[in-house]
Amino acid sequence: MEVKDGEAEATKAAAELSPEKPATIWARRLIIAAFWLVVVCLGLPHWIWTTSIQRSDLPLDSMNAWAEGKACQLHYPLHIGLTAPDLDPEHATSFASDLEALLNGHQSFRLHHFHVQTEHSSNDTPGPKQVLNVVLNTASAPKTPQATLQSWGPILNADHQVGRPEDLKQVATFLASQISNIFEDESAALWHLIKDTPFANGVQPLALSPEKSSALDRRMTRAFKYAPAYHLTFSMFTPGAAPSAWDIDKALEEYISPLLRPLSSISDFTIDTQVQLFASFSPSIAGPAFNAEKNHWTLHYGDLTGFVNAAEWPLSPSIGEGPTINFVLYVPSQEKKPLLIDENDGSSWIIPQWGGVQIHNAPSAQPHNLTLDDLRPDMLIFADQLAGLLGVPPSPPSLSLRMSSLTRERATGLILSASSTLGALSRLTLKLTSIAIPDSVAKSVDETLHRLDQACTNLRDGHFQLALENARIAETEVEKAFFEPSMVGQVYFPEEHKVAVYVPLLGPMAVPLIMSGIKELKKLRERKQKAA
Amino acid sequence: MKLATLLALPASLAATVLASASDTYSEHLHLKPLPNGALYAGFNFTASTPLTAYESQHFRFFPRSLGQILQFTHTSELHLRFALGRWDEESWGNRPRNGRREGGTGVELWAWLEAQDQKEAEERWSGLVNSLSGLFCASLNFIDQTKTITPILSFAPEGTLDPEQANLHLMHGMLPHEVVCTENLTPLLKLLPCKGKAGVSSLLDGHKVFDASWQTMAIDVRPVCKGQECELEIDQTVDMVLDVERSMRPRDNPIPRPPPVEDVICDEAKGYNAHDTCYPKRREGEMEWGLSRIFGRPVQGSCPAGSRENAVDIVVEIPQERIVDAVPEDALDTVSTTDSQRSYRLKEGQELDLRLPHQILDQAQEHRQTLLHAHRQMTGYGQERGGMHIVITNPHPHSQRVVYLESLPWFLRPYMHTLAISGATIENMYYTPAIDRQKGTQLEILLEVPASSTVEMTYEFEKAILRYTEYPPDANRGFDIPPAIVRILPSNASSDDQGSYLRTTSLLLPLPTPDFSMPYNVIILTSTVIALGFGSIFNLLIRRFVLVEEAPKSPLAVMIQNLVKKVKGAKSDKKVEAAKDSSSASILKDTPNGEVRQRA
Amino acid sequence: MGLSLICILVGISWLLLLPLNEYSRQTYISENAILPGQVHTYFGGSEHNVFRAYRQEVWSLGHRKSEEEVTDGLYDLLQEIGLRPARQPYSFQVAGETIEGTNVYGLLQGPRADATEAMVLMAAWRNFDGEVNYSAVALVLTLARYFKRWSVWSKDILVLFPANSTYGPEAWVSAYHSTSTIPSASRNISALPVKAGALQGAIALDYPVGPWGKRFDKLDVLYDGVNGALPNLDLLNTAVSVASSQMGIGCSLHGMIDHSDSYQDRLKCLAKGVMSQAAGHATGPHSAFMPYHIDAITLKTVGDGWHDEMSLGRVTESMFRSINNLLEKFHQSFFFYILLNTHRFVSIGSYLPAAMLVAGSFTINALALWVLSGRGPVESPGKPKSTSEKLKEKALVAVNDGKDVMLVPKAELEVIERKMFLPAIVVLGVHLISLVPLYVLTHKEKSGITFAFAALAISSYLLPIYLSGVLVRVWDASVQQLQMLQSFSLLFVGATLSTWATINFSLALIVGLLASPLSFIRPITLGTSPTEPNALLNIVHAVATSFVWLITSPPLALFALSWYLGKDITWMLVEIAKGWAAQGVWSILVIWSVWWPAWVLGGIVLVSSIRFDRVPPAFDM
Repeated sequence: MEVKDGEAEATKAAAELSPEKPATIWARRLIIAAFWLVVVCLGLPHWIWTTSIQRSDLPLDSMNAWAEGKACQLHYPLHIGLTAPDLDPEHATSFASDLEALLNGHQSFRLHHFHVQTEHSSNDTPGPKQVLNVVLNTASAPKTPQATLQSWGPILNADHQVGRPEDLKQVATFLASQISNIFEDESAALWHLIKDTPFANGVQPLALSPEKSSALDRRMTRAFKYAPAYHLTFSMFTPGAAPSAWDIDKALEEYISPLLRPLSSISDFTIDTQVQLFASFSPSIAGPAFNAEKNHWTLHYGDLTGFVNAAEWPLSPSIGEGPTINFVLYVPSQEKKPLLIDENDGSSWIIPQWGGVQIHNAPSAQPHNLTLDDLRPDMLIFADQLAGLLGVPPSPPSLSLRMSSLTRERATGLILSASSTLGALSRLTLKLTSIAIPDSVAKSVDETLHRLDQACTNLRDGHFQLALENARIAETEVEKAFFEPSMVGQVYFPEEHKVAVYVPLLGPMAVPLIMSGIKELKKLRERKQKAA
Repeated sequence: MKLATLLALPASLAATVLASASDTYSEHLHLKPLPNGALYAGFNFTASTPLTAYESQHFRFFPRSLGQILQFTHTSELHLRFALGRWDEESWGNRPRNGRREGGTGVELWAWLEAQDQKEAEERWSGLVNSLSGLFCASLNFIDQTKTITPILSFAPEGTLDPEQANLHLMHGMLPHEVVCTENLTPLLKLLPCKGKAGVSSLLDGHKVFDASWQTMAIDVRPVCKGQECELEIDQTVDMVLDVERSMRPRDNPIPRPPPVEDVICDEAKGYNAHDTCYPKRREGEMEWGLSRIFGRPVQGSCPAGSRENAVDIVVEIPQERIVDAVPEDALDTVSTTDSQRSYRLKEGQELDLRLPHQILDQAQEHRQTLLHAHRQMTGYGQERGGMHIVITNPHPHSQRVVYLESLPWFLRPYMHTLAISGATIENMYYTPAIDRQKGTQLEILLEVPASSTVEMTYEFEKAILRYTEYPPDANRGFDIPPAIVRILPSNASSDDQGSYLRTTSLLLPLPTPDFSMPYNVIILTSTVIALGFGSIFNLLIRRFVLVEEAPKSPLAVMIQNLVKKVKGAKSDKKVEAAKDSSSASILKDTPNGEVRQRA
Repeated sequence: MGLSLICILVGISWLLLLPLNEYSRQTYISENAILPGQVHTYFGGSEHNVFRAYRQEVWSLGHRKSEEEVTDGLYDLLQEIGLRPARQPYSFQVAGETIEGTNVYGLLQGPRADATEAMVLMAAWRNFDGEVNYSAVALVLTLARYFKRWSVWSKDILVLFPANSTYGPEAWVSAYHSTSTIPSASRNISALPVKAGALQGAIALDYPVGPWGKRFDKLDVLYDGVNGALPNLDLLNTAVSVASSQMGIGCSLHGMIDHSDSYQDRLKCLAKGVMSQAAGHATGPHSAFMPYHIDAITLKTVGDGWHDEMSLGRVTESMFRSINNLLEKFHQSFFFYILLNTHRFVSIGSYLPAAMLVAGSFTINALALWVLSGRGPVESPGKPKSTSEKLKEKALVAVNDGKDVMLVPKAELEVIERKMFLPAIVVLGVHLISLVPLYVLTHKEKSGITFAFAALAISSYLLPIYLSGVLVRVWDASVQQLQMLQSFSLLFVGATLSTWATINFSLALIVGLLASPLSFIRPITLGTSPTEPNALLNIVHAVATSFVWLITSPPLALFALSWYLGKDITWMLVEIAKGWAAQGVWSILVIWSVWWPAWVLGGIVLVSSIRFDRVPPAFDM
């Protein structure tokens, strides 16, 4: 309104009104200018400064590169030492190269790449990088060629007669088949890991038989996600008051720690045990039913899932880093034993990614204390349940070889998950433009990338342990970045609110400012025209 | 813990051997009728484990879930309290267990933590409260730095700890607003070996416990060293005072309807007594009650955990001549003539019930005078100021030394210069002022309360105005002020160094609360006002002022004028005067600030 | 001038509009937690017999000699019921007489309550009209005994028997909230031995019927607090909805039992509400609680009907259950409202403009006078002058603005400087003097109070005349100064009233209306010269204004009020004094220290220019 008749004044007044004094005109101009000065120099910067969200920039390209698997071409050089005391060096080297050629030619290895070199000293300890040491003795060898894998170390003893040098060919083929047998499962597992990820392209696919892949699936799903530390909880549940004690400490020392010792190179383990009396089944399951002809109490497959009464039994995960693996020893009451699974008369089962359950059907009367001997069968079962839950591959027989292949699988899995998380993070930041990206995120992303590169190189030159270390750190870092709490908060402040807050204040203030500015400019032009 | 360290073989082997030897558990129920129809029931469960077994994480009777929390947070002694209602000193007399096992209304927690420095201690403390809140379904995690204090005189460790030890830190926090309920009892029962399925714990039923007039649950963990080998002891206590009449109502009909006319015992002595007029007579004598009627079921046999030789499960404290029929009879163990106590023991898998018929005793039972009364009230009204008024009464003929501990939230700002104590001498005083949004006030006063006298303590405070987001959803309810804790120091260095405790009730502090329904309206209003102010000032500054008729006419006005002219076209001869008049009129109209208008 | 008149007229007509449906609203419960009437009430059956017995007890107590026996009797009854009983003696010294008594009360601890909150159930031993409150006391006792058996209480229940309907509760609630109880000259209240938590609500019962019983027709809900503070509308709505919807008992306000929902009745109800709010005195036991932000009402049985004490008991039970449901204290609904009937109300947004307009009229006048006082020529009141000729004679100055020339009288142009000292002093002085009547009427003995009032009335008529004489003759104040004087006083009145309107709307409105003539007072002119064209007008104006000034005077208003109430003036003065000393009622302060000074100053202006020899001035307004 004011503005309107202001303009009117500007236009018409020229006719009737005597022109203003230049001083007043100047004063008015100065006033308007001053207001604008304040707005521009103080208001705007302050507004921008207070309402801007800090978004530190991320290395999106390299993140995406990882997500798309371009950053790292996964493959696993396996160094195999060949010790042939009876062969002379040049034969040995040629034999080694033949063997290497044969192995790399083998169609079941897409990701592995073998390097066989001869060891002149016949010491059993493999070199730092060597995953397998082949000891070939040709002298005093039995008729039939045979190869035995040592159960404690990564050493393959092969006996084969070598009459004339041509026999070396057969020896090589024989050895190649042996070694490929050893590493077949691993390569299958690795391929299974990466086959659905971007890392798979560039590798020509490996044909897996359906039953094999399903077996691998089961193994993967059952196994825990990799963690730097695991808690093992051994709990004894009984529906009554006895037994209320068990010699668990000795039992653990006897049966569990031998398995844990080698594993402790990959992860740390803590163990705790508890005894729980008066443990009742959850009402959700039918509970044991008496089977007359078999003359024992039976559980159905359906009940096994609900067997562990999550509501009542205190199996809360342990505090601290890492997941908890539960091992439940259930001692049925005197009148309800023996208690077996109806379908297969088994007494133990694994709950994937949670733990194992074992029903203790002691023939004897209910003792007050379970001795070591009572516990032996249960502990043996717990031991290989633990191996399965940790994802230790079932073959080859040699524990150390299984460990090393586990290392490779873990490293691969971590790299894959970390890079996919990176991809997710980059997509997120691109999609939600209003969320803040604090420096901590950028920092940990950089750390992740760095670690991933290292892990990749480590893999390429065969330092699998190091690769695992780096991959582990990368994983944790990227998780931290992705779940940064300060990022999510901003999302819930929509733009409408800002409008709703600004309009009432800025609208009425802006209009007079702008209009007056325009008016003054018009007048200025008019005067100019008059002058001209 | 690394595996290697875990399997330090011989040590832990020895440990387990020890453990199986000395993992003990015992439980206990104390019943005592109180004046006007109340019954005190005190449950107590004690389990212990050797420290070595505890460190190698082998749990038997000691609950694993709690033990791990303690280990993780390096808590060496823990005291947790859930309380509901208040103890009625006037009629119930002395507090059970000298008030050591009771807490202020809501939740109270204090613990001694091992830590190198204060910072680490605070981290561990927050870890402790968070994991405990998960374990007990209580919002303990709201005990943050603002609610945490470190008392100096009020608490002494029960276990064999050395409080002087540098790396032991005492932390204390209270949540008066927390409503203790069944979901807090269930986890407590889960910690027991027998899980409320056998033993005296089978009587603990949520409905009954939380219908009690006063009720407190306590968990105390402390290391106890006998000579060389130490063990960790957990002591779980559930004390309650039940209204016998109310809790004996049948479960299916809990509503206290007016009884049928014939059931009301009238006082015939009254003259006006008639068929329709009945002065209710107070029933004399002891009420009849029984375990199964009060708790809804009898005791489900004994809890066989731990060694059961010479274990006493239930003790009833009643006068000699009161009749008690136990079912089965042989449950009666001993009758002590001295302190009128009868003890009963349970058999495994055999129910026990106690029934006490209605009976008129010749001499009414005396109730012991309490050590001390303490009342705290908030005074004043209005949004800005208030006052606190504490009355401590010592009914005994000997003086008592008392520690008064007050832990106030930061938004209650006491004026210490107004602290006035009449009737007692301050021996010592520790005061930590509050820091807004960081720390609460901690006030600890060591008093000498003279014999049979009353001490009055008053101070005034100011109510802070909170930020918009700091108000809870029920801001208009007011903010709970945690109870004050009064510790009566043991006289002349007697055997126990604990003394006895009592707590005042919590208070409700009304703070100035905004109207939460209209923040946006407020924004609009304020910014509109600002904009208006700005607009007018701005216009004043840049407009040009002219006389009315100088101002250019709006087209509408011009049209109207023409119309008028047309109408009185006849009187066109007087145009001059008309003009003159109009001018003078205009002058008159404008004179108030004529000078402004003349300036053009 | 005209503008302010319009303001007043609009303000009044605004009030008259309020009863219409368009400007008032249906009441509703805005706090969800209350759930009025949702619980089933069980009070009855054998409790009725018990009630009769208790009524007998109370009846026999009522016929004892001394107050002590009564209090002891109640104390024992409470103890027997199982509450924790306590006594509180109190005494006030007002207007030379002492009000004393002993409150008896008992604490019922909610079984699961944590002593942070409490509700109050009370029955004054003598109700507001001075009758002994037999049935109510008995009913409260029965209810207490009945409540004791329930375990649902989340708040403690305080059962209070004040000895008296006004001062007992006042003493009790003030002791409840005060730290130190040092006796002062006017009040000696002993501390409470038993206390509970923060009081969330209070309900008083008024049923003064002996053992023969008497069935009632409606419940009269009394809600006015001291100084016009009102309880939260939710509490009132709860009472009404519980009584009418659940129990089928009709409710009434201000004793209007037959309230046909017509415009007249609504207006009448509104008027009664405004009057009692303006008076600011206690209207029942509940009134004392309001200043402490405790919502309280009194349920009073009125009329002859078929409802008996048990239904009143059930209403009370249901209400306590409702208050017990509260998680937060009453805050959802309105604290400022005017009720038209039990189901319609006017919220502050709708009615406040009325008072504001009236208050605003003073301010407008004040500003107009201020502007006026800045214009020359300086004249002393009563000098002969007629504007028209004077203007012609005066030298015209030619002001040429640009090309055109205009003639402006000189006198109109010159801006005289305002001499504000004298008016300011006078205004201040008069306001200080106003403390004298206030003090006298609140501290004088009963015997002499009427005389004092008469003296004050007369002197307050004489004071203006005397002062104006002094002003004009001794300090020869100019017209401008008189205008400033009036402007100042009007400004003060306007500011005060508009502020007061937000605290106690009714008082501000009524005082504003009574004082509104003051803003139109101009020096009167007696005697005219034939040359004067509008002499007749002047005379009429003069007579009218002075008449209005005479009748709308504070003393006269008080007298009129006493006549309206049908009580003698002494009684009313004593009541006012009691209210001031014992209850802290501010109305009298507003009358004597806001209205009275303005009235006196108006009088000064009015008579300022009475000269019997010359033609007085007339402002060209």
